[in-house]
Amino acid sequence: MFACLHARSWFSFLNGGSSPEALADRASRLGVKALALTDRNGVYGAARLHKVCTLLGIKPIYGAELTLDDGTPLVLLARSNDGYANLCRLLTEAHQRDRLDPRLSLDDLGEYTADLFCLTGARGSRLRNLVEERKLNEARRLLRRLRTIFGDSFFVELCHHARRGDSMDNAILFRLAADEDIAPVASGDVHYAAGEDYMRYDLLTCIRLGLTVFDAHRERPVNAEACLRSREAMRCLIPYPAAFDNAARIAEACQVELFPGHVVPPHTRLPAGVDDGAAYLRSLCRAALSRLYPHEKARARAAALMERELAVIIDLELEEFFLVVREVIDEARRRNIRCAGRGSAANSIVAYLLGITAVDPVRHRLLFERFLHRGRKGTPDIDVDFDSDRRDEVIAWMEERFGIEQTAMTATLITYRLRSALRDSAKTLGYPLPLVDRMCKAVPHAGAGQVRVYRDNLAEVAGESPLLETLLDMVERLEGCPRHLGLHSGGMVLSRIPLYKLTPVQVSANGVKVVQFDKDDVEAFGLVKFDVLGLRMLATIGEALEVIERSEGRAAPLDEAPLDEPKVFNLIRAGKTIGVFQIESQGQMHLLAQHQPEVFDDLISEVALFRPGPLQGGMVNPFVRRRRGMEPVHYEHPDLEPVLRDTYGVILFQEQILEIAHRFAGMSLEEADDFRALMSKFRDPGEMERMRGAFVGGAVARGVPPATADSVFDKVSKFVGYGFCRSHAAAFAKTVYQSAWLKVFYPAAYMAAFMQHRPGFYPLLTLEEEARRMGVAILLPCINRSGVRYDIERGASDEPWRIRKPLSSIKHVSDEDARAVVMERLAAPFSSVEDFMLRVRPARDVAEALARGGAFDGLAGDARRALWLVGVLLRRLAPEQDDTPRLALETPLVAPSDVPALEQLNSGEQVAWDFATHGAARVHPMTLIRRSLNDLEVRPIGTAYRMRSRKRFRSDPDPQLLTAGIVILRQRPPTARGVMFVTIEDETGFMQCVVLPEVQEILMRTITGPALIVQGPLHIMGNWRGLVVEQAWPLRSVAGGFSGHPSASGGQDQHVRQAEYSEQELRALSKAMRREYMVDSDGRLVVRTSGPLQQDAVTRRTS
Amino acid sequence: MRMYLEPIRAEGDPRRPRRFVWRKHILDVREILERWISQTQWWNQEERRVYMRVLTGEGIVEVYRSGERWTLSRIMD
Repeated sequence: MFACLHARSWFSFLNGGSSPEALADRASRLGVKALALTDRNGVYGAARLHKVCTLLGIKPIYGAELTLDDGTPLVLLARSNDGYANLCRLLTEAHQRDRLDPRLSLDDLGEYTADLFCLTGARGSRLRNLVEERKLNEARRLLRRLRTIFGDSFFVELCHHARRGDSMDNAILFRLAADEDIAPVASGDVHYAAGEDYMRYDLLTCIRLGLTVFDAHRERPVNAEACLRSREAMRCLIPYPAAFDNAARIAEACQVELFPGHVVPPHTRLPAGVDDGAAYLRSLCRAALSRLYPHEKARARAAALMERELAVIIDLELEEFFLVVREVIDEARRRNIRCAGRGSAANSIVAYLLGITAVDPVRHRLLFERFLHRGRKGTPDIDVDFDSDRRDEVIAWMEERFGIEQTAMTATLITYRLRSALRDSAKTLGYPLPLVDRMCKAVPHAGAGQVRVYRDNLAEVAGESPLLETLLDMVERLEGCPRHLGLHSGGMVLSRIPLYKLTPVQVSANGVKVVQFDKDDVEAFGLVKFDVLGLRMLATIGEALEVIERSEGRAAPLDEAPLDEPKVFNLIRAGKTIGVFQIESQGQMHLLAQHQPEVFDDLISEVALFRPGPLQGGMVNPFVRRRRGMEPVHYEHPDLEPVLRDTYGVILFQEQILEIAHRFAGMSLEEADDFRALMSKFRDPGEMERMRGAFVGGAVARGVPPATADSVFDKVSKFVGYGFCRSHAAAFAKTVYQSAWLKVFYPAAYMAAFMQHRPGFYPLLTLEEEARRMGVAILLPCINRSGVRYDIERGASDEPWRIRKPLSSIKHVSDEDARAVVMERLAAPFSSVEDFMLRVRPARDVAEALARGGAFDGLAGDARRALWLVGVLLRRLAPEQDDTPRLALETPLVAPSDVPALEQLNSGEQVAWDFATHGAARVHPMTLIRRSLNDLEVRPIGTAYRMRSRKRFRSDPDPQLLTAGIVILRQRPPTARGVMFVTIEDETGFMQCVVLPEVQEILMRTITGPALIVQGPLHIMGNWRGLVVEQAWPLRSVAGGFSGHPSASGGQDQHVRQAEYSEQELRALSKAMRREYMVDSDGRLVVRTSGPLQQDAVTRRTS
Repeated sequence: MRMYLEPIRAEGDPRRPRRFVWRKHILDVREILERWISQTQWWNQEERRVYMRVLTGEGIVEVYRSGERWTLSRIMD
């Protein structure tokens, strides 16, 4: 057997040049019968190696290069499953000692060497270094020590990369081995599959070492010879036949079976006297059945569904998996942690009956096969969202319950994408960093393989040169290459046996234990992964309920609330959905204006409609128009009617794909789900055509005309992969409804919780404005009233609730600082700034931030005076001046004469200080320039909402509007074909501006500014307004630089009332205002308005 | 050891040359002592170089082949 016993793949993370698949493929073509994967400090590629080797008929061998304490590698190969477990233990130990630089000493190998083969390692190893330096006595001592540790399983490795000195070194090694009676073994020390991969390997080496290709380094390759070779090629380089025989003996001795082919769930906890998990699962389901389905007819239907599901679950031996998930959910509920199952699991009535999901699959006609069927390999996905604030509690409990050695998080493989590949490659090829930044900005987020599509963009930035071609080539070569290992957002592995028997366990940057495999690989090991996801909206809802109970003295009946509350749907239909889960974006508001949801099922459609699948497939308009009776519902074939009836003939849910494949193309439900899964994975034309053949063939066999079958397949192929499953949409719709319900009935508590957790994407300024629009006042942070979190308060019981911002909302004031203030306040409220400073002794930046943020306004009068007082007190309380103990009746630290008569902050300064300290101002910045804007006839945004469409025909023009606002959102979604959406806001509301690509080209510099004046036709649809930008001007010179973000206000805390426009801009502005203008003798532009001449309104730019 | 980097003519099988002709000297190959490969500046389209350290009748020389071209790299003193 010809074996390659030492090969690194790109799972050595920047230390190997090819994938395990590429290595195995080349091995197969070269006649290599056994291939060992020995990545640096890990077995990351083991599952992939197993898969590809099984396919190609090669024997996989699992091993690793373990880094010793001097940084040199030692090659270990697993002889048996016990050997593999020992390898994993050693790797775990190394990773837990040093996360970034895992190492072990020879002494540490100790008891974990059984059933492991040890190879001395190739170039760079300790032995090879000694031989290269001709320190042969030391080399002999090392060999003797390793033989003591590994006994007969220890071999001297001979490899040849056609480097200068390799032949001589091998001759010395062979003689040393013979002298010490240690067997030699031939290895390839492979770093990449084929010679052409050498460039990628060198590039990755440079990236790893932080070099450019022009820098020399001993770890860089000097040729392209570290590739896989055939037996003949190897024998030419290593003329020692015994070394090849030994390699074959090792390969034959390695017998590791890691992949069981079935799921091994963790042990569930059964009640006393019960020893059959399946029976227990059935009894739990039956008990819930009568509670959740009180009506006999529905119960009978549900019972039949339940029995059918139970049969599949028990057949697949997944009963313990379901019981384990139920255990976790029950524990979370017991601890009052909000959780909600989502994803395809909501298709299962068993999951519903166990309380894992909250969506009734009978009522919503959900399809179990989308979740699980007998043909499915591996564990089904059960994703559960938990309150993001308390998810760690759930994880800690799971570790305790299932065992610290049996639980860890799943890894995520972070592979190169276009921008990351471009950045790393360009830096390595010596492009200057500012140019690299510009190049990265010139390409979108895409796969590295698509780099040539954006060649012109890059040439425009970097210029044409031969190096650009090299760069494109290298970026292309990084497609799919892993860069580093990340942490899965929530995939928790639960194992029946200790994890070290299957995988090394590393520690992530934030201290979380993580296995070396991603979710697919974990499944191959038969391990169960359970997605414990953190959802900030659940944290918001949970906190809102706590605030309500604390302030009102009774719990809000959220979970019992009926799902048809008219006030909730009124709010949603009116598009007042800022802060509502999933439907708060401007795009969703636009869709709401068209869709006008009336019942809960409409919310399910609403959530599913706003996805790339329906949007790109052009399904939104037909759906909305058909729903509103504006066009007839049309089915391409009568068989599609029962499947698509409730979505008006439009494909909206993944389950419908499955049903179409079943009912229309004649596939079994299991085949149909496989078809759906394949369609979402394979996008290459060949695979697509094969699936088209299967689909169309099945449909034609059932009597469907070929043209119709083709047309239906086209619609299916456009949708798959980018749409929601109905169960997922239904689970999300419930959270949509609940968040809207809280916003309607408890706006203050809900918005306070929302500001605390910020699950959406609007800035704080917008959230505060939204609260004000709902009649909820926002109170500034106050040293005597504010706590650590957002809270609500009111003076008397008949007054409305107001939101009190916490001390920690002030920049530089951490939760710990705020907690210290609150703890000190428990003794007594603060009577003065001096009292506060003496009792709390805050750091300078904290005290000054509190003063500037208005937290002392109640004690000091205003922020400027408070800041002065703080300055005086900080100086007087400084350690060098405060070494004598103070008596209670001593004179105050600050005398009245210490504080001069300070001018109060003007409104501009006040807003600037507010922004700089706590992210939003007490008044909207646009109010400060409203008079100037009125003079220029720039209308408030609220004007748009008072305008009504007078269009009789589609061709009638829309009304024109000139308005202005601060930019709160700027988006260019990939589904919008280059259109940019800019949302602007003023004190009267917000509005979306649509900037078409051709307008972007002209106005790009302006529309990327922080505040804008815009002009164009206004689209009116129900309560939604959108302005199609035809002209835009920067508002910077009017608004004085308030960018809507505190960081941008630094240094510009006064608004400028005089505009700075070029003459061309002024002409355009004046034209837009439909007013005459003239330039006076001082070069000022005078605009004639309906009132008196406004000579100071605008002036010509002087620079 | 002196570096030359001058063209040299090889006779015989390129993988196992029989003789080199350099300037007007004829260097008969007695033994190829070592062979190695260098290929570093891939971004510069540098060709693969096959180096040989050769024992000739005139002494030890280091030559390399890059494509069809042969170059005398060094002569050992």
